[in-house]
Amino acid sequence: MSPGEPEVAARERRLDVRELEPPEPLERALAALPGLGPGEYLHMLHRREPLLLYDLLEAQGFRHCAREGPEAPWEIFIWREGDEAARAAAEAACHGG
Amino acid sequence: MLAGMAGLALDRAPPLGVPLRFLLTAPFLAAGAGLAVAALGPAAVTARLAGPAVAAAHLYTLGFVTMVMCGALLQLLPVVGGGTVPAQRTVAAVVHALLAVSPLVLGAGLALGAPAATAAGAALAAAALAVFCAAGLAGVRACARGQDTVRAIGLALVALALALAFGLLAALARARWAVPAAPWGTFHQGWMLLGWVGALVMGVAWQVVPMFQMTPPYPPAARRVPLAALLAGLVGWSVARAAGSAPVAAAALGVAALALAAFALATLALQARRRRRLRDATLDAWRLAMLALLAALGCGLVAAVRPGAGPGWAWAAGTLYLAGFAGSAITGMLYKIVPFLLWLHMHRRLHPRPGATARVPHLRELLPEARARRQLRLHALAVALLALAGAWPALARPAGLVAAVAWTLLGVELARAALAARRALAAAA
Repeated sequence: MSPGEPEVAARERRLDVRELEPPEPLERALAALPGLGPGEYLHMLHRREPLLLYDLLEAQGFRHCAREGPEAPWEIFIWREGDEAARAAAEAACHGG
Repeated sequence: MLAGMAGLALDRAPPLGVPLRFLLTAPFLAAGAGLAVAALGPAAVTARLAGPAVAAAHLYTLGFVTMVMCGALLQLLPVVGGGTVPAQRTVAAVVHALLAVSPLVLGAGLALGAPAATAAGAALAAAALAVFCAAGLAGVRACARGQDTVRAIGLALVALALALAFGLLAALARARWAVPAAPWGTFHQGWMLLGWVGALVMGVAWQVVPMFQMTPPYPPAARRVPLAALLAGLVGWSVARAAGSAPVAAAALGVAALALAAFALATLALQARRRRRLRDATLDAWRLAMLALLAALGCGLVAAVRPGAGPGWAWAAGTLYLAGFAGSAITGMLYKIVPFLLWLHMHRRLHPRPGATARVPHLRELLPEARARRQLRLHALAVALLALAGAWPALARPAGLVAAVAWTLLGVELARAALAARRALAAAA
């Protein structure tokens, strides 16, 4: 799969932006988020912590959990505010994986 | 979640108007400097320390280089180090106005030999730089400690303050005031060029080259050793020069030059290892900047060891450094930072709440790559012609004209991007 293309895996959508230069990771993430269905969360693989994205996520009604590694220098799990199933799955993946 | 050390806290960025006014004005003042070189013709090279040539140099260094760097610092300090410049809107408005007007007044005074205008221009420039140094250093103090880029910014601001003091002493000496005899003009140039411009481009590069050009990060030693050597070299050169020890001064200046050469080579090596192989105007601009820096240091070496070789080598070193190194690095940064700031501003305005669907244009739509490349080719031609005018002063006129067109085009492309963003915001309203 080519970098930057979201794929569906159970309740997780992956978005690998490690090879993209700023602000393409932001553009890709913000473009992918409206397509999240109920129970789905976005799993972003990034080479640095996207602090700017957090600011924009809040404004658009999304929440996130971020961690360093193991799959990428930074992994960010994003879900729609109020979607409890997505939140539980994303937080489990963020803290457990 | 704690922010990573390399993370950028862009949500702390100042309002768009704070940096943007500097970035959009500066290219037109550089174009004015190009026109001044074209008007002077060969005399720009052969009498580069006479009033008119010094006027052109200040139009460029104050109106373009320092103008962009002040705007960029107001944006960068909060984002990189978390320290906000106090009263940033007022500081931006005052410093921008003074930096736009002072080189014109100073330049007119120097070019026409009018001491009152020269003094007024120098006073306005001094006011701009004093306010900016004070505000900038307060911003640096408010930053988290330990960041190499913040350290380089602090050094650059101290160098700017020293260069300002030396420049004022040189201006007073030129106006035949009774100031202690010393090579004030030489100190002014050294601290301005190597300290303010050199340290700042270095510190900014450590952030933006890995981030925007997808290279590995600079190793810590490749950041700290050149910065420390640059500072030690400048201090050693100044002290030895003031004490009249020419060999020690030359050796110390050599250390500072080696520090800059090491920085250029490290940057070129990182760029060769970048992860993404797409062509990009910013990458090419920064490559040109590093090659021009190496060429400038080479020409400067010839001028230093063979004083009888004529003024052409010093001219070539100066133009390669200012137009080739600083001008190309700044151009590359402007092509990234202006569309990015506009894009960010539009995003915040158009998507302020959940469910907002207004479309934000992509960066490449705001400033298409092909137009940036076209301007960059013209800029590279201007740099080559300016440097060659050192050997063939008759080239100064066409070189100045090409440079004026290139910098006007840069200003037009950035203004078009800002207007496109404004149209997109108006259409969504």
